[in-house]
Amino acid sequence: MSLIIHKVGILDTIQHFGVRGLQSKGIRPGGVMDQFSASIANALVGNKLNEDLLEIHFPACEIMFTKPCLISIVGADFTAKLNEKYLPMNRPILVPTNSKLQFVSPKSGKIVYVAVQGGLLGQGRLIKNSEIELKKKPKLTTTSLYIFPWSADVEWRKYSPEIHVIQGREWERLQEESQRKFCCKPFKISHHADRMGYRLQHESFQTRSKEEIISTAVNFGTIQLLPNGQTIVLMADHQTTGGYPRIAHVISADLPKLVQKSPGDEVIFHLTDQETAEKEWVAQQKHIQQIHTISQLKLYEFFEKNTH
Amino acid sequence: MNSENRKGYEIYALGDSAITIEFGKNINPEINDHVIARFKQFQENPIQGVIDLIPSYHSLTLCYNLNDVAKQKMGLASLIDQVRLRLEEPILVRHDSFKLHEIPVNYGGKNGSDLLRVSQEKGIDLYEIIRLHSEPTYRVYMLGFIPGFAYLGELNKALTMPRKSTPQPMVPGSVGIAGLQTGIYPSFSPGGWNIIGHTEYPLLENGMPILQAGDRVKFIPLNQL
Repeated sequence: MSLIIHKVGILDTIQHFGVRGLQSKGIRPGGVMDQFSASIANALVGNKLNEDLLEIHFPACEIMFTKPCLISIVGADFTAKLNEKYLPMNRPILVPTNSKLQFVSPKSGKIVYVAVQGGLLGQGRLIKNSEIELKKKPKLTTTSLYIFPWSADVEWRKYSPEIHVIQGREWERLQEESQRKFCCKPFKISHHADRMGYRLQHESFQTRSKEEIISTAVNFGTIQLLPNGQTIVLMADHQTTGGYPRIAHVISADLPKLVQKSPGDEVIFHLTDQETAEKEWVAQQKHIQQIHTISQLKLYEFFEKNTH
Repeated sequence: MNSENRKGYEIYALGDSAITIEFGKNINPEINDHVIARFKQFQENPIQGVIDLIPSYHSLTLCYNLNDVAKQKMGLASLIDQVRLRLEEPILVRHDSFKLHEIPVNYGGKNGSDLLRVSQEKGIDLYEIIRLHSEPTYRVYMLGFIPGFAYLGELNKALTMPRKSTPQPMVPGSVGIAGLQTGIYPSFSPGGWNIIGHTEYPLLENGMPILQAGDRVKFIPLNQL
């Protein structure tokens, strides 16, 4: 084995990148909440971008490395420490045998990803004292902690409150005044925020019609209007179908930003269109792809130099 | 069975990574037959970039890989064009071919604890409720909510009950009614439907749902009537 879970956190999992093709059976895709951070984490250790990795909330788990591993920490800043020494984020890090990784205090963001070179075996909730194997065991020999001299640019996902949305099928159900409020007023993320959905805090929205909706598909990022005038943004573990009005949808490129908001943080919605959503997504994917390519090259050079 | 080409549909965006084709405005077996026929068409002959299909009562949703779609010259418009072309193709809408599941049910008792309340609120004799519920052959309109939860319709109007205001914990096999629908909870979950019976019939096989959209379900009462 390579990792032992010493202490469990509240919601920590080995996460995949979504199971596709089963929604017709009511089986949701699930997968990582913040695809941007998770992909960068994988890129930094030279994994394929959608390799299984640790998704960690706060209070976080405590991990013991029983073999030398190449890891990276990307996403929320929970103040990572390895054997009591502070660790930087967004970099490849070589950890030696018997290293204990802890997260001691949350500074920003909601979810952090830890990628391990070779990928993690098994999926689902972490269990106390469970042992995790790597899919592919890299041949690493190190006796001391090594922090690589390069880091990934994650500025892409600035912690600004601006979130872009596309109008939903039932947008017109909102009264004009509610539509105006929806678009420019800051809302707070409520304490009901988990992998299924984030509820928002605002005055009740008024609708033109209370007509019932026939249950139909929803999506990651769909903003539903609840019967009490409140709203919820559906997240990675959303149900496949729903019967509440879908007033808007967060664009894919802004989902990582929204996911990293904690209860009490503000969001401001701005309407945009499909074309912009596509452009933003393509630019974001290009950025991830570039980090992946450079990472692989740099890691290759590094290990070549250090084995000869 | 007949060959039809339904022109009356509408396509709308479900965010930037899915589109929904709506074939009608209400719940009815004919519209649902179209949904299922088109679902099978897209399943058997997939469009490049489409990664998931979600049939519902009156619509079919296509989830696509945003990379693939954004890379095309016209973006989403190109995909929608392809979908429209497909919808021009006539397909066989079969009204007579389906899989029938006969599901034995124990009505009432500990795992059907709402039966008595339904009987009191509706003023209908317990046995009459069992008879009315087990009389029709139900259509599986869609699956959703949780893996393998099948929305069955239509329930006899005499049995229409509102959902409970607060969801309650459900055990696998709980047979419930709400509005004009009936359904079976395949696994432990919270739920708001009125539970009138219980079945041991396996609804999941290695985690995969047995029932599929378009199947039929007939409940067989195990109680002495």
